[in-house]
Amino acid sequence: MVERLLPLGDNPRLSSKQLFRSWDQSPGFRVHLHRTRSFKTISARLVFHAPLDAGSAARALVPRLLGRGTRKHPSLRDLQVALDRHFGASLRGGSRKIGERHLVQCSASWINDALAGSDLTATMGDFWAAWLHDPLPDDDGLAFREDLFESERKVLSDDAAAIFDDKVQYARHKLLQLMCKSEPYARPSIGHKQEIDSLTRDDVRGAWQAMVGHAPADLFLVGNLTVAQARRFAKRLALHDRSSIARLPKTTHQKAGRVRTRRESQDITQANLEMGFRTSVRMGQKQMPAYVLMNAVFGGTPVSKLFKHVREEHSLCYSVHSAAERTKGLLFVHAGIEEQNYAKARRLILKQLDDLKAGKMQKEFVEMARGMIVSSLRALPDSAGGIIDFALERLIAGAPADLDGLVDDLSAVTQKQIARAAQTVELDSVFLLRS
Amino acid sequence: MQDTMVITDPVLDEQIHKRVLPSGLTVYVVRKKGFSKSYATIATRYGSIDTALPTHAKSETLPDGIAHFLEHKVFATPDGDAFDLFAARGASANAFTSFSSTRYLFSTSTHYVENLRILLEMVFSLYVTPDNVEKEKGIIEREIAMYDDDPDWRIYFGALQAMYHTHPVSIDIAGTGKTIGVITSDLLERVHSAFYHPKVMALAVVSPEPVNKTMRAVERYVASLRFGKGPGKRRIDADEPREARTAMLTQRLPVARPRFLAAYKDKPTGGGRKQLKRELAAGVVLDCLFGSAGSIYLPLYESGLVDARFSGSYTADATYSFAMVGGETDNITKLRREYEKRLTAACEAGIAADEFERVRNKEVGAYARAFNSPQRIAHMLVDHHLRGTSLIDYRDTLLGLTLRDVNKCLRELFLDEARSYSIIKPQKK
Repeated sequence: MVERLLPLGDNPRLSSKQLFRSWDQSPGFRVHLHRTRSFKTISARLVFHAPLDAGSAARALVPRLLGRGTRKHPSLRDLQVALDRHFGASLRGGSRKIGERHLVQCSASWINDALAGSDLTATMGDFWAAWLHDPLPDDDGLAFREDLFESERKVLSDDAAAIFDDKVQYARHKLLQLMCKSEPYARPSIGHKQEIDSLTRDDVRGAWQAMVGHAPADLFLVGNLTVAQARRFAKRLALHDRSSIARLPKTTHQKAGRVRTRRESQDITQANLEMGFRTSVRMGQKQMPAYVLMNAVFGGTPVSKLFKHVREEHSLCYSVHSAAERTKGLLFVHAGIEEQNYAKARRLILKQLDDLKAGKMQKEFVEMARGMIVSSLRALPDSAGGIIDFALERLIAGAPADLDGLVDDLSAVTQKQIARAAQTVELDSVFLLRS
Repeated sequence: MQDTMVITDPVLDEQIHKRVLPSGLTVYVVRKKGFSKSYATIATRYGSIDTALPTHAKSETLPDGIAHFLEHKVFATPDGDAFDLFAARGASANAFTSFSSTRYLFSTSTHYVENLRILLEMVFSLYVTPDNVEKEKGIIEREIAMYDDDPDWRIYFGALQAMYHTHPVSIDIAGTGKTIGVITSDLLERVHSAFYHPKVMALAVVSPEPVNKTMRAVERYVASLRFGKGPGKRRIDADEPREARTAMLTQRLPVARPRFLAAYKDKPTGGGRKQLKRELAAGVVLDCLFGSAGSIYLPLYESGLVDARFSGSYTADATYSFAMVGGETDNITKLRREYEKRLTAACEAGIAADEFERVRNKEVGAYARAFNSPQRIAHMLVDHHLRGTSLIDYRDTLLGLTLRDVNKCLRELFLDEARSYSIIKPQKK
C-alpha cells in the first residue's frame, strides 16, 4: 500500500487558520512559510522523506558526509569558518523518524538581513545549495572521499553504540526491539549498528542521489520573509530539476497481543521500567484531541495521575511520565524505580490507566492538564522549531497544521471522551532494566 | 513608585526595564510584542556551595543537598502543590538548583499576573511539615540514583572532586541519601529565612504585556510581605590553592565507550565585570581551540579520536571558576597524548588575530539570537544580576575585548598543576 505525502498541487485544506502558507515549488518539493517579525533570525528546515527501512543507515550518513566539505569549502574547517563569519550562522543535518517515516533533515538559521547589513539570506541559499549538491569529490571526481566516508561511518556507528550509555534511552530501545520486532518502527533512525558497519561508499552515494533527485522534500521557513523572497530562496536550493518522485508506504499498525515482559541486568543504581502500549487512535483522526488530553491526564504533565500517585503519593520515583507516539499509535511509560518496587510500580501505573478507562478522574486535574496543553500550544509560535515540528508531524499524517482548530477541539473534549480514548490503550510489552 | 532604569539596545530594538523595590528585590522586565508566551524566573543567591548559614556568628554546617531539597519543598503550599496552582492557570513551572543559585520559573500564555503572584507567594513563604519533608526524601533519593547512573554527571563531578581540595563546589548538588536523611522542616525554615530574602534575589519577566502592568503587579504583591532584616554576608569557607587536588580520577561504569575530561581550576575573580571579562575571554579561547572549527578539536575529530560531542566549557562564580574539555573516545591514552601535544603547541603559538575576530563575530550573532527566546532573555538578565553586571557591561566588554586579553587568558588557564583528568572506563567483562 502506498500513499503520497499530500496531494501535490494546491493543498485543498489550506486555510488562513493554518500556521504556514504552502505551495509547490517544483515536482516533489513544497515550501511552507510562516512569516513573523518576532525573531532576529530566519530559521529554515529542509526535510527529505523516505520509508524507515534497511536504507535508513545509508541515508543517515548522507548529511554527515555533506557536512565534511564542498568543492568551494573543501574541509570541515572551511565550511565552519564561512558560517562563523556570517555572524555565527548554522547549518546542520541529521535524521529522525516520525512513525515509520524516515526523515533526513537539514536545519539552518542566520540573522535577519537588516541586522546583518547584507543579503545574508541569498548568501545562505547559495551556501546551502553547494552543501547539498556539490560535496567534495575524490580524485576520480566521485562524491564523498573514501577516508571521509570511513571516518563518518565510524562516528555514526559509535552513536549507535552510545545508546547503551543512556539507561533511559537504552530501556526504550530494548522495549522497541521487543514490542515492534516485526515492524519497521523498531529500527533506530540511524539504522542498527550492524547495518551501519556494513555500509559501502556506493550505498551512501546512492542514498544521496535518491534523496536530492527523487525524495519528496519540504522546506519550512520561519522569519521575516515575503512569499516572493521565500520563493527566491527556495529556488536557490536548486531542487527544481527532479523527477520520478518516490512514493511512500504508510505507517503500519498492530493491535496489542499477549503482554510480553523482558528483564536485563546491569551494574546500575536504579532500575528503569519501560512499558509500551498500543492504541487505535492516530494523528488526523477525530479522537486525537481526546487522546492528547488523556495522555496529559495519565502521565504527560506534573498534574497527571502518574505524577500524583506513583511519585507524590507513594514516593516510588523521581521520574515517571508517559509519552504518546501519535503517528503509529504507541504510548510509552517510563519510571525510574528501586528494583524491589517493580511489581508495585507496574501495578500502580496500570491502575491509573484502568481508572481513566472507568472514567475515574478528578475534574480539577483534567482542567489543569487541559489548561497546560492549551497554554503551551498557544505559545508554540514563539519558537520556530516548535511550529515546524508541529506542522511536520501533521503533514506526515495528512492532517492540517491548524493550531487554533486543535485548541478549539481540546477545549471541547469531555471526560467521557477521555475515558473512551483511554479504553483504546492496551499494554503490549514491558522491559525492566534491573540494577 | 520607584525609579525605573531603562537599558536600550538600539540595534536589536529591545528595552530592558529595571527597578529595585523597597524590600530590595530587583525586578527586570522586557516586553516582547508579537509573542504569546510570558516567561518569569526568580533567583536567589543560594546554592549547593552555601554550606553554612550566613546569619550565625558561629558556623553551623548545613547538610549537603539542602539547597536542592528546599527547592523541592518550596512548591509545597497550604493550598496544595504549586505545580497544580500554576497548571490551573495554564502555566508550566519548574525550578533548578545550581552551585551558587536556585531558580524558579514558569511559562504561560494565560492568566499571566495571577501566575506571577503564585510564583512570588510560593518563593517567599515556606510550607513544610515533618510529614511532607519525610515524603520528599524518597523522591529525592530516586533523583540522586538517576544522576548516579548518568555518566556525564559522574565524569563532571569526578573532575570537580579531583580539582578541589576544600571548595564546596565539588559537593554533589543533591547531596546523598545519608546527608538528606538528617534534613528537618525546622532546618528548612531557618535556611529559607536566611537565604530567600529579596535583597539577594532578582526577578526577570519577559512578556507581551505592558511593562507597567508587570511592575505594578509585582510591586503591589511584594509590598504586602514582611521580611526580616536581611541576610548576612555569604560565607564560603574555602582556602583553595590553584593546584589541583589530584591529577587523575578514574571511574568504571557500564558504558560502551571510554570518556575523557580535562579540567582546569582557574583563579576566581570575585565576580562583577572582572569575572565577565574572564568568562568572555575564556569563551573565545575555548571556541578557538575546541569549537566546531577549533584548531585542536578539528584534527582530533578528523583523525577519529573524538566525535562531534567533544567540546569545552567555562564556568565561573565569585569564589570558583574552571574550564573543562572532553568527550568520548576509543583510546584514552592516545587522546591524552595528542591533546597535550596540541594544547602545548597552541599555547606557544597563541591565538591569531583573524581567529579572534571570527569567534567574536560569532558571539555577536549569538547575542542577537538570544533575543529570539523569552527564557534565554530572562536567564541572561538573572545571570548578569547574580554576577553583578548588566547587558551594557556585556556589550562593552565583548566589543572591548582584545587579542591581548584572549592570549593572556590562554596562557593563564591551561596550567598543568591546575589540571585534573576525569576518566570513565567501561567495566571489565
